Amino acid sequence: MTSAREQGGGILKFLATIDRRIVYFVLFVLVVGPLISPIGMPISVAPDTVQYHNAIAQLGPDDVVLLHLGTEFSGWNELSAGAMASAKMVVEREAKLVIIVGHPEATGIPPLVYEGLKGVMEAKGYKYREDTLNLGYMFPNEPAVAAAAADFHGLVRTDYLGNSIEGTFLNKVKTAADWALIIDINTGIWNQALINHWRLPFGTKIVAHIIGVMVSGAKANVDAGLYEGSLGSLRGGAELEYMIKAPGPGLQAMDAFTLAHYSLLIFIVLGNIGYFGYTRPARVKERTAVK
Amino acid sequence: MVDIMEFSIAVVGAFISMCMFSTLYGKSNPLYSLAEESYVGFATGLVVVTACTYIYRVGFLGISAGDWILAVGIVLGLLTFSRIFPDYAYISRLPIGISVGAQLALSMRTSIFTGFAAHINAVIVNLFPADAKLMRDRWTIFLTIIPSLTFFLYTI
Repeated sequence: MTSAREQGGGILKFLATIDRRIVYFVLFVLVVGPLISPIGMPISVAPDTVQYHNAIAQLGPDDVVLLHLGTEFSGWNELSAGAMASAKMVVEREAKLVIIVGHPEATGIPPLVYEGLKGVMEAKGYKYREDTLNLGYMFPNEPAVAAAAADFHGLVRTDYLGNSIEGTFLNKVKTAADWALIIDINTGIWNQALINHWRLPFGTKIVAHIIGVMVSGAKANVDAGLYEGSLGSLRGGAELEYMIKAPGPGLQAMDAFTLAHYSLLIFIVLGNIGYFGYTRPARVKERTAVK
Repeated sequence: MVDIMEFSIAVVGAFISMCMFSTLYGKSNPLYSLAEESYVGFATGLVVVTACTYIYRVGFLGISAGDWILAVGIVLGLLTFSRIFPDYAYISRLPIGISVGAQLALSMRTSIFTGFAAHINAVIVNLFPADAKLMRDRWTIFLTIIPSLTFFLYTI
């Protein structure tokens, strides 16, 4: 009986040495295809998402909510769906929405948030300075986060345009205790600082929408009572969109996610068949020949 | 109707993205270099402008509102530029030391609670609750904590 190597490998050699560009091409097709033409594959909602949703659902009119954008643009791609769905929930409950930025790259994100909320804000009669404010980049480091918690107006005097915030609804916010909720859209930028200096001393409620690699840490914070809830990655964003019946980029991306993950599973199986059928026997053969 | 500005942004964005992805082809190429350096240049410029705006909004507007202590921060910030001059570079250690010290002190005095105590508290729970699913979760956490802690035994 001849080995796969002696036979020239055939299909097993092809599987073991498959050109990675083929893998990338298949992934490209499977990701772009559903984005252009969504399939609408089914989705289930995790208990974590329900908990996150319920924390925001408790908001009422005149509650002041801080949307903290502790993300870069790379993270925004993963978090935008959940962030927009969260902000939409806030506006639907007629709470006051304040956007603050924790990373220089995120200074370009608030206009995208307002553009996405245009319809619901018009429907609810939202006006800038009366119901919402964009404070821009205000958290460059942990001392700034701590300072804003202890004396908000000592740190923040103007909105992102340089207009004074005196006389706005933020007059009633003195310390971190005066915020109804922090929605922390985060890739690891000042998330711990918010817990350390807002949650711990003032008891400010925080919900976190985080990227995939931060999910396990955020769940530990939920269990420890430091977060009211956490929403994981684009998948969580899609689940929140589903819960509030506002389909958007999250649900649209789930088709691509599902197909891409299935294809990766298939490639892993095929790669292992190639490894055990061709690569490994070939290595054994070479080692014997040296002796 | 998409205006010409939005269309241009989309086209340039798509082009730069595809240039970035060209690295997947496996070889360095001028298009990837163009995208990479454009990104680095843009990000650096954005950080400088954003930082200057922050100093103006928090520092200068604060001082003009009578909060003179903020002037100390601006002076310390300027002292960091002494690194540019080798003879006076040692002066920059002062603002850097204050900055690092303040940040560490603020973080450590609270992290001991939020990073340790709260999490230890969270796992001191009844291992036999009425809800079977909850009991499964708690036992999973309890059992996985033990091998996690052995990490510290191996590294002592």
